[in-house]
Amino acid sequence: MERVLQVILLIGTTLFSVYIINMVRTKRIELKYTLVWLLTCLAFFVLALFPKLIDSIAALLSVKDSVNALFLVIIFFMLMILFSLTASASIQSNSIKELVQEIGILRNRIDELEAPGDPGKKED
Amino acid sequence: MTDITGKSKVLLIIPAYNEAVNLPPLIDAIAGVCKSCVPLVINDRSTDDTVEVCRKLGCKIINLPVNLGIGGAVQTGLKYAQAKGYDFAIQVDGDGQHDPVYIPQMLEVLRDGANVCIGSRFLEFEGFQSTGIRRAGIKFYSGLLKILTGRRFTDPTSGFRAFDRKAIEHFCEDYPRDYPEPEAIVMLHRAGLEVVEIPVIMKSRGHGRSSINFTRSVYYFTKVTISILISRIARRR
Repeated sequence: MERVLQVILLIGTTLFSVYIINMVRTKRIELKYTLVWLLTCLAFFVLALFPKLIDSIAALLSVKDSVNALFLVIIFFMLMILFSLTASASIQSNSIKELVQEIGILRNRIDELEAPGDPGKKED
Repeated sequence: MTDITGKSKVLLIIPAYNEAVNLPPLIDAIAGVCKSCVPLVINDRSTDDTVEVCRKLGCKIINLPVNLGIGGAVQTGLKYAQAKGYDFAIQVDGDGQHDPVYIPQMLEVLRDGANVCIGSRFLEFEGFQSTGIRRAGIKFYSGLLKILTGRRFTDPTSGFRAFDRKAIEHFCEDYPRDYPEPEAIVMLHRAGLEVVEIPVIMKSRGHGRSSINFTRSVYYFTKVTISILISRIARRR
């Protein structure tokens, strides 16, 4: 791996980790959702520190240029992050469904309480 | 009109998305068949005047603040039925395809011990039989369900369904979000609940267009097939 790339990776991952941790510290982001990012940072920090690792990955996968192996690793982590987003969107969509149903039922109840004897009366 | 509900409380769940035109005749028909049934319109964030129409009809309505799709809307009705202690809940689509005339017969089936009663177009092949390609899809799901459950359901996509207390409780826990009907049958089978079909005649929908076009039917086919297969191996609740 090129020395310049190594330095960029080291500085980039360090700064980004500090940024994430600071956001968690000031409660602007949930730690739970940053874990996959922190893991990614750690992985690239290690790869930048020990560039031989990426060469071995390249050799293992018969990739000629080890930078391409680096791209492959990057794509792997990106897919992992994307999937974690899909999973959390799905959980949220379910929570929203539950809330919407609850709100609908509660509004119906309020309407009936406010208009006794006229159960069909609607709000506002 | 004799009281066909007897001592039991019956809720009619009417999921509605922009059905202002089709609702009045439906509510009328319901009143003519079953005075003691309580119709509840689940307004799935319609953009027409479904709300005003319901108010004029004096019929119960739950307004969902966000569009949930048919599964979410029906489940809202089931949750309402559970909370209010209804004995039976019957899903009657708001588009006028389902004739309330069959409600007494469905209740009869539930009283005889079935947990769910489905109105099937294909037990006696009468009335609106849907279009060719859809019939082929229905046949496919019927075959798939036969393989997975060992039982023949002639109309697995029919949304004309009656639920008893047990089925209501089961689906309050978990009910598929969109195109829920075939998957729901697998869930019932796995829960050991008894499903019985009765022959019904369906009309082609009243006004407005069906929500299913070509892209959606490809999505429908893929989604429903995969969900049926997965729900067969899903973790039991």
